[in-house]
Amino acid sequence: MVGGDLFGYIDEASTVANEIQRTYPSALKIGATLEQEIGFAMAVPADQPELLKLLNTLALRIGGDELSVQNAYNNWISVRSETVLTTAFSGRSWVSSPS
Amino acid sequence: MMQLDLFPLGATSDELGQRTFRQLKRSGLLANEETYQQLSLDSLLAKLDIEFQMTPSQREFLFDKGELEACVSADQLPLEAMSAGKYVGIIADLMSQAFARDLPIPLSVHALEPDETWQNDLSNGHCDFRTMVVPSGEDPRFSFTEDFFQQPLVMATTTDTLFVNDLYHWGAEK
Repeated sequence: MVGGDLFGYIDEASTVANEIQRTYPSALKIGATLEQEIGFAMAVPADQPELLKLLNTLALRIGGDELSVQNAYNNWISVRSETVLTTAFSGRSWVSSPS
Repeated sequence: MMQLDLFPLGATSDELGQRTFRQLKRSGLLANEETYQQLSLDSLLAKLDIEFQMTPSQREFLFDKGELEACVSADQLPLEAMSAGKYVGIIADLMSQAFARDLPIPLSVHALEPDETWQNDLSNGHCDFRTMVVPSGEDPRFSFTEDFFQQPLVMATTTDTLFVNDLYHWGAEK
């Protein structure tokens, strides 16, 4: 992509942000956010319904604790801030780099 | 005799806790190696919240297990990885916190070998559960919890490309 062969690469946000931060901080950026999300869950053997119920309760408690999720994310990803200004006149989106 | 105005309802006293702890040790009701830990009502209630929801068979299952072993990716940062024998990453942080806070038994990890799949390791009993999957619902060997961590799909582009609001927009411009 950096060589110009590809226009873009699509993956979930934390992996893309980490790869950019780690390997191509000046060459790549997150250029688009899609409406679709990827959700991560836990898997158990199908013959363990008790364990599934227990871990499901745990999953709901993890997902419901937004502050802890955000803190865990921030521990590993530092996101470069960009302001997106959409102009109604042209219908195009522009990126303004932070000053 | 009850002195109702000594402490507000629900209050905990560290001083009384330490005194009781010493008395229990002196009387031999607590082992010598036990150490005093300050009681936090919030953490206690957080633990009770999930423990109250456990069925007797779930409790029995957990105490029989002694620990729950998770199949984890060895090299998938920032989500999860093994580094110097330690389980690290976003999912690792969330899992470690949740186990310490909510479950009465510890989490242990089984790192997946590069040429091994979590499906094989979980089916073969190398671990009790897999930490991080995107459920497909197509494999009858496995059941999945609710999602606990969501991430939007994004597109990486070169820095000289303008921000694209959505792919339809990008497609139209293309």
